Amino acid sequence: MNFPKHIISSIIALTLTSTPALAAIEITPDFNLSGFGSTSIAKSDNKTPLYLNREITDDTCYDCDTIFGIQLDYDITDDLAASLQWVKRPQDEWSDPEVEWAYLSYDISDLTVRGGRLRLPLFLASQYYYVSQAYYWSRPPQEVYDSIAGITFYDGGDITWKRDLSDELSLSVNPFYGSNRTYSIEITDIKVDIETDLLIGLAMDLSGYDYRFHYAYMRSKYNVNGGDTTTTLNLHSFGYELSWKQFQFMSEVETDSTQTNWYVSTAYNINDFTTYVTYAEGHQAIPSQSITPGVRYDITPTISVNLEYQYENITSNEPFSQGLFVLPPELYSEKKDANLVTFMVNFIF
Amino acid sequence: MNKKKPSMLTSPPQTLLLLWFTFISTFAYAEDTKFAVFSMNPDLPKISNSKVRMIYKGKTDKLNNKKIELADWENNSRYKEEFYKILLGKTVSQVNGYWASLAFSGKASLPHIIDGDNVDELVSWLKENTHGIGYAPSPLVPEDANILITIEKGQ
Repeated sequence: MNFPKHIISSIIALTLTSTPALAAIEITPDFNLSGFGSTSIAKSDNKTPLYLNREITDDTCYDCDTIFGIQLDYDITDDLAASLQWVKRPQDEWSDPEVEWAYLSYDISDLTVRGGRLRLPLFLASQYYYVSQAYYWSRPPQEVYDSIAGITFYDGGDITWKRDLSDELSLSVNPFYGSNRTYSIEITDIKVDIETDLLIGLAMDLSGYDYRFHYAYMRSKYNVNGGDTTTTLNLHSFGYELSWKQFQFMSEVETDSTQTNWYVSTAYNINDFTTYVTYAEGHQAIPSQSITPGVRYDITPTISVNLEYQYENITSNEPFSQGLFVLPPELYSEKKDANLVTFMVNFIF
Repeated sequence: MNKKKPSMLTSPPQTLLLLWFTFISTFAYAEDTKFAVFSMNPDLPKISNSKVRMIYKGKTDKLNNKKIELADWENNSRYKEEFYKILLGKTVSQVNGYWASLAFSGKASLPHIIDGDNVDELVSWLKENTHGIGYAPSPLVPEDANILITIEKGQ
């Protein structure tokens, strides 16, 4: 628990979001600063830490979800641009944020070529995973979004080919390549190093103004903690989002040789209120099931709050299964499910 | 002692009348709302309803294979709230959410924001940015503007 930091982030939120629009801060016409953040009060009824990098327990937590990000965009010429995004993720200390992206991009007709540090484009919300104001949940469904150990970026390059197929249909195809890199993850106090020596993939989006279909494939070779065993991951994901009148629907499935995870989610908007419910399942590596009803209220066009209840359950009867807990509940002499309540503040500027 | 000359508009009925006219002129556009999506560049083509929806949801940023730049109003703008309600059936918060998902994915640049519902300022910006597109209530759009499409309720 770290109450002062929570207060600090709230003050930053309210100060920065007093700007009149989601317009970024124009330092010069070609140089923009923008940002996002969220912070929560969260509590479950289980001592076992729940969700990777967040580790929510039955001790009321004021900084398990705290995120603050700054993005700098610089248009060097009409075709050449640079972008930097620096994020204090839930697992980071304020003094040690992560560079989530830093790249140069170059446009050539329908192609955009980028090099540097980039976001993995695996799921619908992967590329704005930390921007909770951009989706209606408090957190993207963990069954899918935590399926590759919370890894969100890679160092390498990509090419995006984007074409309007008609007035109402747009297609983008995005192959990507990442060089070898070691990702460090902390599970309670245990440090785990995941080293990738190959990361290659393809993402495709087919979009109309009120819907999007997304497909991604990624192949990666990795080992854990410098071990001799190298595992090959072949991951496929498919998702769609659709907006119809006041309804919004989202669904995704992720599958690889160790797991198949999916969710369905729907939301209904009435003026400043959006109610939603998400049902998710994980299989094999993440044997879990969850249901999450919640409500979002838009305080202003750039600040919102969520009140959310989540029931999370381990579906395997095998001893020491952990589902989306970071360790097996048996280690804490605890039950295999959790009731989680979250109150979250989200903002952008 | 100089007696202050009474202003023409200091009597209560006149003041009330002025306030009433101000009120009516402020909200009159909402009674028969039509928005023109326009440019000051005569070479830009007319666009369909589908295309303008794709443009204002950030799904495309090209017209005639050339990159366009968007102008938009501040979040508290009466124009902005009404325009997105008619065009997309969405609130300003929802629209900001879409743009946040694009801007913080590196997929789109945010629109240029025009202050204070000032159509003259929008027109000046559009004259400087020949691939710029903006929107305003139809009666306020200058005659020499290139109206790409008119958006109205019930379309």
